[in-house]
Amino acid sequence: MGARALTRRLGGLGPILGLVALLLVSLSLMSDATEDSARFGELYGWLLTANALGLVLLCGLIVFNLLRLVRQMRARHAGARLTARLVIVFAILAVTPVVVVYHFSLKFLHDGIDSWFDVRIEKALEDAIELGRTALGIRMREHLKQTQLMATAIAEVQSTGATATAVDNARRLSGASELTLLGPGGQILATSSDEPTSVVPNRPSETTLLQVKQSQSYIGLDPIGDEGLFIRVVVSLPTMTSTEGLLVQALFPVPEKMNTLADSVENAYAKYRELAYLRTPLKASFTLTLSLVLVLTLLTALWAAFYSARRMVAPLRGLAEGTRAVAGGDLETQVPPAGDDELGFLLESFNDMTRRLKLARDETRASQREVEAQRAYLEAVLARLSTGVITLDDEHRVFTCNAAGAQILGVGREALVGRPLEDAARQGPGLEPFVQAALEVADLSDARREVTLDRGQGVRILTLGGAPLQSSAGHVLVFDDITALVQAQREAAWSEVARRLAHEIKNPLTPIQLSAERVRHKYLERMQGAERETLDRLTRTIVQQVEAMKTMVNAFSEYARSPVMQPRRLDINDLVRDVAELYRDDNTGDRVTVRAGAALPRVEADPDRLRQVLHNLIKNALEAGTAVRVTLTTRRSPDGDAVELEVSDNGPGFPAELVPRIFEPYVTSKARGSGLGLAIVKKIAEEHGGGVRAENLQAGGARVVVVLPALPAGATPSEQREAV
Amino acid sequence: MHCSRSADARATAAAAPAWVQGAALLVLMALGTGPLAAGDPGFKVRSASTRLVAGVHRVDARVDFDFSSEALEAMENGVAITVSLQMQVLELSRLWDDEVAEVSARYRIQAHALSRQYLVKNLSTGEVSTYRDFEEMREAIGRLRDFPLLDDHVLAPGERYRVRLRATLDIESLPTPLRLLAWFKPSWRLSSDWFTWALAR
Repeated sequence: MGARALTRRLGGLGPILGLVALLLVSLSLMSDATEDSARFGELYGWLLTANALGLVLLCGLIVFNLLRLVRQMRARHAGARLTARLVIVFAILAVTPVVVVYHFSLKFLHDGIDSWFDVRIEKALEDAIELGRTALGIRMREHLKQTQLMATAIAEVQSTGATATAVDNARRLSGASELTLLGPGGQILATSSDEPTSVVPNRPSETTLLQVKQSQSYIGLDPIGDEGLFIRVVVSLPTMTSTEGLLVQALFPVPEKMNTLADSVENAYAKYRELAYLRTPLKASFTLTLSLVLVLTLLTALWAAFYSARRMVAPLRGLAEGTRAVAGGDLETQVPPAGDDELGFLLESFNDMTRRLKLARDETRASQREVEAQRAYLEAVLARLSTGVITLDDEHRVFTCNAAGAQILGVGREALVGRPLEDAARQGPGLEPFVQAALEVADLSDARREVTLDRGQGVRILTLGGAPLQSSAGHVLVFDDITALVQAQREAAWSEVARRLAHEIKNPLTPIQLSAERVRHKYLERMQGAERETLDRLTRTIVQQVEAMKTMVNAFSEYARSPVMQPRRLDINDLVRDVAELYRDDNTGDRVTVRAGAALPRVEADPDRLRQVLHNLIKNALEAGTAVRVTLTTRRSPDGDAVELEVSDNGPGFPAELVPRIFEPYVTSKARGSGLGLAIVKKIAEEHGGGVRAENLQAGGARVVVVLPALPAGATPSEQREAV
Repeated sequence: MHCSRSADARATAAAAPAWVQGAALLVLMALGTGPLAAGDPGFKVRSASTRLVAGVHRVDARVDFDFSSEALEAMENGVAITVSLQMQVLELSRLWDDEVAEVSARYRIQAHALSRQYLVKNLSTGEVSTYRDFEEMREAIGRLRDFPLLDDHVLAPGERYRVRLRATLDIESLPTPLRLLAWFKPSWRLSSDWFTWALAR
């Protein structure tokens, strides 16, 4: 720890330590003052006041700390509870021994003070005082007699006028230090002293004079000034006319030895008495001083408890706040260092940890962004693929499915993702073959299957490939809808067959027909009877069958033909009405009814080809029965992007088993049909970018719907072509 | 002589637990004590006046030194008690009174066990007087006569002055242990109020 850190740490501590030191010094001085030391006795009051103020200051500090701690605990600050706990522990640890020491100190103090006093010593001192009084009393009585004799002698010379001389002589003879003749009012008449410098004699008090008047004499032991004890004797002069009311006062010095001893006894007795009297206040003073020391110690200990608890908890509080911040995701948190002890090491480790966490998080985020970018890229690619891609986990649960996959299967992605693949079979009818094949190929590498799905809306042919994923325990399924491709191949094959049939069959038909007609023409007239009828029937049959074969070959030729489209913008309602007009029959009534949709968008189409479509469909419907009525309906498709042309009838409908293949060549329920009418319809519809579907109506009859792409409002044909 | 032998009784009275005494003292210090009630012991200035004698203002005063029982007990147990008569001369002005002079007559009273008398020492002059009787002593220190206050020439001519006098018990001169109690106990608050009169010139 550097000098600056030490200074910083002691910065907050310094003033308090100074205050405590001052209080201790003050208490020490007060303790000295209690012992009646002259040095500090005068300062006692100030010291007491200073200590009280200091203690109040300390109290204020502690209350401030306490309130702050309570506030922090209520606000649930980090470390507040630990601080409180530490404060309590420190306080208990500090207060308990101090209180114990205080208790025993007081006890020893009081016992010590009490031990100064002993009844026997007090009795001895009282006896010494009494002895002194007795010893002095003997002398006092002697001096009383002596003074009375001197008073008699003075009284005798009073009338002679030699009083002063008599007083002086009497003093010299008696050994008195001072002898004074006093008048009735206490005025000094004559005096003699062994101290030549003494001008004014020591006068008796009024009480003394009063006592002498009452009892003729007074004798007492008087301490006079600093000269020690004197025996004061005051007597009245013997009653004579001239001495009425006169007094004589004699002051006899107590012998020096006796004076010294009496002083000693008096001082010792007085000191002992004073000390005994002051015993209680002395105890109280010591108790007060000790109590102040106790309070100071307790308050200092409490403050120290707050201080040290706060300092000790500060790093932990920082750590708790830092941990909370890290838990909340803030990895920028760095706690301030706290020295080089274990706590400091802990904080440094925490800072190091947060730095590493931040580094790791940044790296994770970067890699996550990279993964997400790759994923987005992959998803974009998959979304634009026409191939369906499904990934499975190791339990064959669908992990991902691209849009093409869902579209091919005819199931929503949300119905697939997260569920076992087997559940897909329940999502839509006819998916069982796909699920079965998918489960077979999932675990095989580079395996491919062709699956045929019959979902009630036409047979779909899929190619399905599967492979286990190398990076994880899962599988990937890749499948394509090749129905259109197969259909196209099949149509191409049929076209080829039709072209060859037309080519190979049509050529000999004309010579056959011409030959048959020539035979008829040449030999019919020559024959009669039964032969003629036979020839007529046979040649007619040949011609009719050849004609039928020609028709059939023409149909083949038509199917195989790929004419050049001449599309233009047209209103489909006009076209429908024109074609329907051709089927108007005044005898049987209108078998063809038109229900034209309102405000239909235009379509871009070759009108001749569309007429062929209509003719094929109407003819196909009318051939279903003599009473069949056909309804032509035009409308906008539900999604609004196309125009639907519906040809429905009330006939017997398609045989149910033919409905899925009704648009294939040579699929027909009619004995004489070529089986190419609906195939041509489908071909023309697809040439226009549309489609066709057929179904039986529940109320009877059949319905074929041709769907043609609609032109946007205001679009030109070329734009439409591009759009298609 | 009022000296008594009550040390044992005091020792018994001090039998309360030490910590109780300490706590009581702290509480006493913290709370202080109430003022002295009327009729309680205390010093009182009965009369005071000044006379101008030979250019010197002299004070005559009568003061009742009514000591409390605790003060008497302390005195009888050999504790020296110091009383003082504090006199101030104030110049009257519009805003406040300026102190011109202050003098004190201070007496230290102590019981003398051997002679059973009270010794009163005038701390200003050093003169010691002895009294066999407490009342005589009380009377003696309560009678101030011809006490020189200040020379008249110190005072500005034409100005008006006031004199005030009060009798106080000097707690600071008590023994230190007793001083602490004396600060907080009403029985030791014996000082009189100021007695004020106009200075006759």
